[in-house]
Amino acid sequence: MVWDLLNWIFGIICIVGPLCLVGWYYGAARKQVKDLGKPK
Amino acid sequence: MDEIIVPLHVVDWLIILGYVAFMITIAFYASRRQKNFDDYFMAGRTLTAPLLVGTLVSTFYGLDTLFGTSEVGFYEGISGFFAFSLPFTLLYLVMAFVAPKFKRAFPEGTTMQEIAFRKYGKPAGIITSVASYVYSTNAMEMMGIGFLLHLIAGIPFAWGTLVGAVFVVLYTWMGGLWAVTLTDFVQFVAMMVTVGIALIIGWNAIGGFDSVFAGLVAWTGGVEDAGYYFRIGAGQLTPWVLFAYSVTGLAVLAEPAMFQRIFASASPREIKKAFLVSVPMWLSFDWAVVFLGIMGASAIGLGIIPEVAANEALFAVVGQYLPVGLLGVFVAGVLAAAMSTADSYFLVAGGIVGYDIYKGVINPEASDRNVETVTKFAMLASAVIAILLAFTFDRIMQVWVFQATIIITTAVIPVYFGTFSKKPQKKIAGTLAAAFGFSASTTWYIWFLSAGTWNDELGVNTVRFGGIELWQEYGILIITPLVLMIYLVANALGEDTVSEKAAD
Repeated sequence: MVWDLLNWIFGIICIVGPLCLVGWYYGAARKQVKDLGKPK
Repeated sequence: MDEIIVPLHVVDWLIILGYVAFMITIAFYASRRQKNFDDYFMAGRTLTAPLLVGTLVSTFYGLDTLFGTSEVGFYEGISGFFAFSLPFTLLYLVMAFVAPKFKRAFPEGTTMQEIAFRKYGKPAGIITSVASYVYSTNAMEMMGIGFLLHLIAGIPFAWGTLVGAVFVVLYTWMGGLWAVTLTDFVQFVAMMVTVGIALIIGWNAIGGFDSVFAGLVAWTGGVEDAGYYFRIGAGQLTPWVLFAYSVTGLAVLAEPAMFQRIFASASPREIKKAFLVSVPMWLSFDWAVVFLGIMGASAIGLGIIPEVAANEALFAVVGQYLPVGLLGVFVAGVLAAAMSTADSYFLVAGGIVGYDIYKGVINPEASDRNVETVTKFAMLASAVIAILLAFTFDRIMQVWVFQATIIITTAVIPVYFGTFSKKPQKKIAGTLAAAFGFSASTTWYIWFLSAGTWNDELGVNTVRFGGIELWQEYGILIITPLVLMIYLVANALGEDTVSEKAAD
């Protein structure tokens, strides 16, 4: 059924989407925290 | 203490307390490392796309989405997604292409109101600032936190609201946009992942579409009514009703917190990337929340959960299906959704007074330290107003419609014409447009507050005028074209412009 399929698709995007961004975020956040308060 | 509706295991409580401790630690850490107002309010203007994604998604999706949109799903089915969520998401997509232009036009910009100050002078800037302050008062999130603490801990609503406000103000006071951005990502992951897991586990545990539909038939009393749940614009939701519901989404175009993030981004490219990555997240979250609402109605029909109020159904379903530990993460995620929205708006409200009004008008020579102090106290004032509103209004949707009306009618036209017109715009055009938009929307609201009646079936406030039934939402459709006309006429007839030198 189309609704079952769509729920799987959107549910998986909800779970996998943010987790995929964790590595990307971690690198950026580390750099930002390191640079915090440094003169630009 | 009141009755606990969603009881939690000790493991769940430990997860929630761990999350709260994490927030305070981040805020404390950020407070020790920031050197000036730019660091505090703009996170040093170096936010890259991954940090922006977390803060964009979690700031613009709070408890209003979780409780409000799931409630619409509970009553109206998938129309909740198409009428409420899709217009907002489409406008976020528009912002992916508009936001970089703002960043390019004002690389050193700080707030949206600043555009009005620079392009039209002080009167227009002050009026836009007042509209932005009103818009940024987040009573809705305060009510949501009070409601949540009531559900999980049995704390009376008023006390829960107060506790939530004190906590959010405390860590925003200490950490500023740095703390907000760093914690927003964790909040973003927690709220997205747990809602996704709840959707998949819940939908399949009930038995997929056929069982959910059977539950809706039992709940509504007929196959035809249950069928409405899976048709767009079904039942009483005519295309015109859907349109009227969705116009408040135009507020996206003049969101003060969004502009703060646009200007805090490292470059136009970063903010564009962030919006484009955020759009599928927003869409999926909306979808999940609407379907959790539908599942709530169905689960009541099937006798899986007791007959709870529409805005409690999502919690009842999630509490039924999520295992210990994950339920704690979910509640932390829900708290996160509220706090990430509340902290952002408190900070923006503070900045309007501290940066736009105090430094921009009252004391241009003020030191960074002074501006930061005024910003923090204005943030506190905004929290007090939010709590008072939360205790005053029974139907927070009315407050939201007013806030959306005031920001759309006051800010959108002056800000967009001022930024994107090739010729310098006339001072009088921005000033008159902002003044008319602000006063007309305030008058409209007072009229509806004093003479309006609440239509429970449609969930709108209405007034009868000369045989026509007017909705509160129509204010945006009536006032905005008038503001546009006033702006165009004044711009054609006016003479004075703000010189670039004066603006700088």
